[in-house]
Amino acid sequence: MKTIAIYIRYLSFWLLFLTLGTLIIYGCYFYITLKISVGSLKLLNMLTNSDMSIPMWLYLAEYLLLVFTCICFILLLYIAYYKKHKNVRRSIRGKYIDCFVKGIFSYLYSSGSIWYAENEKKNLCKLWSKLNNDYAKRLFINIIRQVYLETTGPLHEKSLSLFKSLKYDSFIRTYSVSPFIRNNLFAIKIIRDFNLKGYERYILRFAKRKNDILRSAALVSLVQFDPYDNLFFLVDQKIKITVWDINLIIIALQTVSSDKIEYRMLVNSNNPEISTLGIMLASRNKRVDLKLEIKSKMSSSNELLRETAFLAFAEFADTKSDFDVLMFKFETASEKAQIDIIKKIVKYPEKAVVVYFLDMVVENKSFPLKVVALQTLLEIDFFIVAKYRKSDNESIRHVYRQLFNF
Amino acid sequence: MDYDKWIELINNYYIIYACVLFVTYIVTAIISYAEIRSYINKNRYVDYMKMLSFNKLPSISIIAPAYNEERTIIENIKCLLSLQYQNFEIIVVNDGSKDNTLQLVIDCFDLISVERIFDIELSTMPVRAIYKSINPAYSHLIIVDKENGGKADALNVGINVAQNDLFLSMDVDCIIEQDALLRMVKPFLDDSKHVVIATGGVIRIANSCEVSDGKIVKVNFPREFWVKFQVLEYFRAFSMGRMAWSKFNGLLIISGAFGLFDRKRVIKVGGYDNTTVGEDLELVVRMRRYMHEVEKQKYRVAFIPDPLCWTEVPQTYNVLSRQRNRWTRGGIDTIFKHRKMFLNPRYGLIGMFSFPYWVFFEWLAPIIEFVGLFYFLIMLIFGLINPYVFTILFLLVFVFSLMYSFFAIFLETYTFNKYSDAKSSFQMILFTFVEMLIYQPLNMYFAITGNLDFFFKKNKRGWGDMTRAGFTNTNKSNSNTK
Repeated sequence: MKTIAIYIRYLSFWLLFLTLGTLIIYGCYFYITLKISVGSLKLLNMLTNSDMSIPMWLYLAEYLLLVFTCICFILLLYIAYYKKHKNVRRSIRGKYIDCFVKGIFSYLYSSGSIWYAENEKKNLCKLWSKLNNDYAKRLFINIIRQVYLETTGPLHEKSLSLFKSLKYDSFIRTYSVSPFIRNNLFAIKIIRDFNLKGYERYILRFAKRKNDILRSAALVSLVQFDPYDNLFFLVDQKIKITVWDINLIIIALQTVSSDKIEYRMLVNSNNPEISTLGIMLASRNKRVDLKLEIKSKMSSSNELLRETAFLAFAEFADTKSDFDVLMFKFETASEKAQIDIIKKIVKYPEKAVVVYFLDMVVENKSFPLKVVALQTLLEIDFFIVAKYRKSDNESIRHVYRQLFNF
Repeated sequence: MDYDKWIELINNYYIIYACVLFVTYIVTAIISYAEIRSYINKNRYVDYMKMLSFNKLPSISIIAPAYNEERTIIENIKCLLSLQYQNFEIIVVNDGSKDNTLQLVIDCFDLISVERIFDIELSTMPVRAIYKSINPAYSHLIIVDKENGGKADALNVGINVAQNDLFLSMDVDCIIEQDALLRMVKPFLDDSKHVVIATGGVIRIANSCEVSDGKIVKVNFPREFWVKFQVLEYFRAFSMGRMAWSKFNGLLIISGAFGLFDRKRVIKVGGYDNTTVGEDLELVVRMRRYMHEVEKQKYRVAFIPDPLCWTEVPQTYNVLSRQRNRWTRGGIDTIFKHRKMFLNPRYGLIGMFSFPYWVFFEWLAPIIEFVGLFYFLIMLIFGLINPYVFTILFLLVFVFSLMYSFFAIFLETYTFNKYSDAKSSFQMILFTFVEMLIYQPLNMYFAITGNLDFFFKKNKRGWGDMTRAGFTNTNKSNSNTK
């Protein structure tokens, strides 16, 4: 029933819009028709001017004037309504929050008998089920959710227990099938944060939706639920992810053990974003064994993937051959990756090669790279840097001055 | 062709023009409404603060040119310093100010002159000095002092000095919301189908608003006569026009007061054009052209409906006239520079719709309106038009204009409701009635003088002074602001 009500609400705007449009078009016909036929009866339309010297376009202009005036009045009413509605809603919100916070915290901090606490909980559940609007229900759940997320120990447990005592199932299901994106997002959030079981099919469905925000929220939920299966899922289902998703997934995985993630599968994915995610995860979790795979991605045509691969490979580089690769491919790296390579190159076992390489950077590259290269040279040997003080190249002298200026 | 036929032809032309304009505005309003609703619904639960711990987040350089800004500069830099973002630098470019702007900043933020080198990728007027603060709290603040060369030149210096992935071009007199950068950068992260080359945001009017420590603490409806009209104008332009065009990726302008750009692409197209006074419009058009002609990738210019930037607008007639004159000249200049795009299918939607729209309904509209008004008045005087017809047509245009403005006010009330008190709404509605009779004819006049100046005056590039009154500061300890 509730789902039907939500759908009616969802469609009401468009129905209203269509009705208004139809009325305007029909009204136009009505306004410019001299005689109206009702069955076999033909009535003279009193709205029209029988003086046929007035052209049709002027009738139309008159009619539009009437329509626009009506719309102006409707808009004025709407402005007044929303102005009041927003202010009333703000005050109602304040009252609800006061009432809910008082009730919920009274239960959370009840230190008396178990019976007393249970009674408080029952009262809160009753209160929630009696709330007659969704806004208040959402607010109530949100307060519990915030307590649950921001506390540990008994408060955390009690808030979870309170949430589980609410008859939330039909509420969550209704929100999961709602046509309103905001409702779907709320459902995803609750399912994810309270780790609710039995709603996976909804989340999976959301993960395949075209809507970016919904898809992204669902993906993160899937990752949090079961990171191992669902990172597989990313590759299997060929789901498109964005840089936004990559960041959220990495944050979501921070609280999860990293041992079982199939890094190789992710890194080798044909999807550049998934491969980027795999490389970033491998780099975070020091999976040096994937160095070869990462190296192969340094030649990718995808800028994001290439840069990530360079950064990860530079992070893992520890042998002479690794650094040789980095120096060899230096030109194809992004500026950010080049700066990183310059900083890491000091680990190269042969000092002469490092100095030669950094010399090349100082002589030929852009200012930001020159600065980093000189700083790196300074770490190796001050006297090498000193020679640039009297360099023929003015820009190099400039870099030198900046290095020692501040 | 005889005399009557000519009159009929002109009448028909005006009716068709008005119909197309009406339809365009109605469609724009409906699309904007749907887009803003969708944006709010989608982003309702986005936790922007999470972005502060993102691994892959583009770095941003905020570039704020300043010319004679001593009244507001300190407050504005404080605002910029308090922005929430992970990796950003603030570059204030003092464009040869004649007042005390530079010294005030040096004193307030403990600045010293430093050596900072940068690649001169865009040619500009010479840089005199670069300053950084000795106070670590202001470590990401850079002040560049340069010889006066205009706003575009100052922005180009900023782009040269900047080292980050993106840059935010802004007017230094703007107050930016704390999470503005996070919101603005989101389109760069969450679009896998297109390359996002720039993002624009909504600008609101800060005159009469109360500001404390670089933040808007109370939004007031402006007290100044001319500013009241501009509030309505900004609602219509940003919440409706630009929002709708961005839906179809047809947005041609990102306001110079607040826009985020891909720095490397801007350098590739040659930076801001300092030969025009409409450098913001010109840059976006040139970037779009570059994407079509050179990179040939799917790209997007995004737009955010959140009111993230608050700016001071002209309070007096003279300053307003100069500003509008400049906007008109800038628009015409861009149209002529990129006329190749006009009705050219090679540029897709931009060539076939956005650019022609700009030509017919932005550049030519005031001229057509002016000629039309003149024509109908002549007709009325010589009895060539029925007074009833004239009244109906006049009322139709008037009521349509009212309806469009009411819709903009409704959209604002329904969505962000920044002017929360009933008195402001009442005033807005009241000024909508007056606007059509005072402000719009005046704007038409400014646009026509702009056209005349562009075509017949030698100095097409003049900016004119923009006098700032400063913000209403609730923090009395700061003596630098009004």
